[in-house]
Parts: sequence; C-alpha cells; structure tokens
Amino acid sequence: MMSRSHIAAPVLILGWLAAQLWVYLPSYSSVTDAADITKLMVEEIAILACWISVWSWVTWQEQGRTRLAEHTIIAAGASIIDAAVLNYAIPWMFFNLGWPWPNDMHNTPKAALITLAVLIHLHMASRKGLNLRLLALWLAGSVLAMMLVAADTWAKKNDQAAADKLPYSPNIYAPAFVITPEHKLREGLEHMWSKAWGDQ
Amino acid sequence: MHLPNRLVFPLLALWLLCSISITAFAAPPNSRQLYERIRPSVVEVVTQNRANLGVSSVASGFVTHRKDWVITNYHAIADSIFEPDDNGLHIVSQDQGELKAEIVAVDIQNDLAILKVEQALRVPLLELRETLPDRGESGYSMGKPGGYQHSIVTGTFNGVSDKTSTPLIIFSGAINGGMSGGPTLDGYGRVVGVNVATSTKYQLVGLAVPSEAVGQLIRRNTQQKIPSLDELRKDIARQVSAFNQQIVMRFDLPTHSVRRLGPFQVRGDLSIEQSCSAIRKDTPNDHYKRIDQRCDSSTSLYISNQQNAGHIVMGSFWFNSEKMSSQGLARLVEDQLTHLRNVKKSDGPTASWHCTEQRLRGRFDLPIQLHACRRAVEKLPGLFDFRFRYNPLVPGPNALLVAVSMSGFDDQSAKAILLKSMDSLSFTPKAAP
Repeated sequence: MMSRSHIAAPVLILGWLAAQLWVYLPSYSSVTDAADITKLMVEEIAILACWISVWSWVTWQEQGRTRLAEHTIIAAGASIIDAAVLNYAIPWMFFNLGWPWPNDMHNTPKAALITLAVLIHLHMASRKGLNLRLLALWLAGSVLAMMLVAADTWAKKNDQAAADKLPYSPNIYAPAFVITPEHKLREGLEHMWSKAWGDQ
Repeated sequence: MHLPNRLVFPLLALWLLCSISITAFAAPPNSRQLYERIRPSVVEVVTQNRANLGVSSVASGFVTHRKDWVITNYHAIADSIFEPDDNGLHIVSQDQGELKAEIVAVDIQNDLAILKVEQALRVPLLELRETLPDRGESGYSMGKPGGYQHSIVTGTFNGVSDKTSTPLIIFSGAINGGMSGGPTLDGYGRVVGVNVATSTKYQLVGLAVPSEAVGQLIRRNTQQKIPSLDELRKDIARQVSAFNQQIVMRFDLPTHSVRRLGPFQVRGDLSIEQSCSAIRKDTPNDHYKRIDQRCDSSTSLYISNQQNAGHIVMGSFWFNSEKMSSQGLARLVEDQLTHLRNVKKSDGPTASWHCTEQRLRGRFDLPIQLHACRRAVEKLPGLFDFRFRYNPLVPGPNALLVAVSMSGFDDQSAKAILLKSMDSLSFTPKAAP
C-alpha cells in the first residue's frame, strides 16, 4: 500500500514542473522554439535528480534505507518555493510596488531556502537528531563551494576583457508589472545622476 | 612739356621701380622658385615611439609668427600628450637637424598645434593669409610625404567643405600621408591653410585648415609659458566640452527630426550629412516583426589613436507581434539588451563601467525604463563614455528599445542629449505599423 509520502512526492514534482513551465512559458515560448524550454527543463530536472540521489545515498549509508519519497518531497517543495515565490512573486511584488530591486541582496532568500532544505535533509538522513559529522561535512563542502564561487567572481572582475563589457543584469518586466514611475524626465535624470555618479 | 633736368632721373627711377613692382605682382613665382623660398621654413615633425621599437611617425610643420614656433596638426603630436613616456617629440629642420620640441597649445576642433623648438630656427617666417582663397585659384601644398623627399605639389582651391565640424579648404591636389601639418600656399607663397586630410573616397581631394584658425590660435597663445601635460589635457577636455555644447544646440535644429517606428516616435537624424538608416530584420518563425533604425552623428573629435570624443550612435529597435504575450515582448527587449552589452575595444583605455537604472515618466506620462552606464575617459578629466538603453513600458503588441552610445562627453552635455532624446519619445497605440 502506498504511503502519503509516496503520493505527495510525485505530486510535488509535477507541481514544481508546472511552476517552472509557468515561469518559462510566457517569456520563452513565442521567442524561440520548444527546444529552448526543453533544454532548460532537462537541466533543472537533472540537477534535482542528482540532489535527491545524493541525499538518499547518504541516508542509505546512515540508516540502511533511502527515504527517497521524503527527500523528494523536501527537494520538490523547496524548488516550488524557489520557482514560484523567489523567482516570480517577489520580483513581481518589488516592481509592482515600485521598490528598488536589492541587487546585492537578492540571492539571500535563495541561500536561506537552500540552508533550510539542507538542514531538513540532514535531519532526515541522521539516525537520531542531527548528525554532527554530516553537518560538518556539509559545512566543509559549502565553504569549499563558496571559495570556488568567490575565486570565480574575483577572476571575472579582474579579467581585462571584462572592462569592455557593460555589467548588465536582466530586469525588463512586462508593463503590467510596473507602476507609474515617480519622477518626470528632467528630475528623474538629475536624481539618477546624483544617486549613481554624484560622488565620482 | 619741358621737365627740369633735376626731375628726370628721380622720375625715371620711380618709373623703373613701379615697372619692377608691377611685373613682380603680375607674375607670381613658379613652383621651383617657391620651393626654394619656402622649403627652409617647412620642417618634419617626428614622434618617436619607444614602445613600438622606436618606429617614428612623421608629419610636417612650418615656421610662422616666431622663429622658435612650428605649426602642425594636433593629430600628428597627440600621442606625445597622452603617452609622453613612450613618445618623444622632435622636429627636423633643413639646416639645424633634429631639435627637441614641446607643445605650446592645441586646437583639437581645427586639428592644430603650436610647438616650441628648443632653439630658434634660422629660417624665414612664413606669412599667413587669413582670407579664403578664391574658387579656381592656383596654389601649392608642401610637406614630406612618408619616406620621400620634401615635396611641393600644385593644385587649385575649390571652396570650403561644410561636411565637417569646422570649415576646411578644398584643395584639389595630392596631399599625401606625412604632409599633414605642412602649409597650403597661394601662388605668392602665403600660407592659406594647413594640410590636414585627403579624401579616401575621391582622388586628389585634399583638405586644409584655413589660416584664420591658425591666426586665432596664435593670438590666443602669445604667452611664453609652456603648459604642463596635465594642463594641456585639461584644456583638451574643456575644448571637448565646448564641442559637446555645440552638439546639444544642434539637437534643437529642425534637421534633428523625429522619426516614426510603428506606433512610436523616436529621435531621428543626428547629423545633416548622414541620415538614419532603417532595415527590416528577419525573425525566427515569423512570430514577430522587427525594424532596426541606426543614426550616427557622423562627426567626432579626434583625441588620440584610441579615443574619439563627441560621437553619438543611436539605435532604435521596434518589435511588433500579435502572437506574443507582453512578457514575451519584454523578453525580446531583454535579449536585445544582452546583445548590445559588448563595447568596442577601440573605445580606448578607460576605467570600468558604473551602471545604474531608473524608471521615469516621459511625455504624456509614458513609463520608461532606463539603464545607464558611465565610465571615465582616462587622462581627460571630466569626460566620460556613456551607454544608455531605454525602453517605454507599453501594453499591447509593440515594444521598443532605444540604445544611445556617447563617447567622450561631459556630464552636462550627456544629460542634455539624453533628455532631448527621451523627450522625443512618444507612443500612439492606434497608429498603424
């Protein structure tokens, strides 16, 4: 007989796929062809499958069983929040309310979500409570990953060729998402100039 | 009539003198006589590039106003202002050989420079003729073309070109590379202009800076003091700002029309000489139509091999689709923005980009998203390169992206031009595409 977890896991996976499609479809489908979306979806599915497999393997090592359904629920649940809330709802809210987009901070909620998911996975993989050895292992892995990312960022910033490129991050939103801007042209340009380049 | 004897000889002498003068005025010297007379006053201007294995660039110059001053082109000596450690400046005169030179003043808009030589040259000063030569009048150009001997070439003057930011005399004669900075002379050997350029498109169409500009530059710089390179660069930055102000004023002329792109109206031609070009682009799967319009200010100021100033390029990209959602259109704009992000390496050595964004209300409260980047131009204080991209946020089947690239502008001029450009933008939803 199938447990609740065995039903919830595929439902959440399907829910996550739907959320991903919902985010991608309006922006991609008319622009290029279905191959683009397929490529993106396959990449996302592959990453999620790897994630779940690793946690299941760790659990099997610890407990002699994989707890595949539970790990799938955690991973799929976090992915749904990532796709629908962090990638869609929060930017929508920011731009709809006319708040400035926190360029330097916008990855913080994602980092918090991943940390939370990892702690739950770890707790699930541990035989009793939270296995400190596993936690330490994960922390060491995270520090290593962050060092690699920091090294990559440093290399990109100090790359001579990078000076010839405009640091542009995509943020064009559909008109319906944007409220009427506060500033008229002249005062808006003055504001932008003093805000961005006033002290240079 | 009987003339007293004592008057006969003086009158005879006077008649003889008048006859000689008239003969002299009636028959200008031939090119051989002129060459012999003028040649000593024409010098080579050598910029020795140490970084480039000592290979030198050679131009010409001539002595006027003062025996230790040489007039030449700004573009011939620009490297020694911006890369002084690598570029030593010398002149080579016929009798005194190689002499060190320093820069007294430059006029970048007229492409002129005054050099001071370390010792006075023992040559005659050339006379400036500050009136324009008549159309069809014969003349000469002198200088040292490349590795060849000093040359004199004959030609005729054919009016003034208005296709450049400053008027230039059209000289139908062979002005070759290396003759830049040399004198353009009338039939009597007076300097009517300074060789500056030759047409790459047409044969024997040379251009010369009128002597009036040389005279003005000399009169503005009668002081003895040699400016430091920093002072020279500041002066160049000031001249660029003045040029930028002219561009801002030109934006108000009726020639700067507004053009229609579907339901949008955008800023049109940026120069009289070069109108905007528009092309329809092929798009995948016919999901949308796209028209690209490109406008170029065509004129710019030469600052150095790596840097031009006062140059504007504006691209407007109109997208129209009945099939796509507004998010899809936003995505198209996004893609186009990403494609535009590369900046040409030839823009020269500059600092890194600083970017910002702002949403603004345009005409009729049209919401506009603006993405703006700025970077400082190295060694020219107060001058920047700008990259602006803005798009009106309008519902429906249309989207527009305008990209404005401005090289070598001061803040005030860049802001004024951007304001005028954005203020021209309007949207009429019912307009037929």
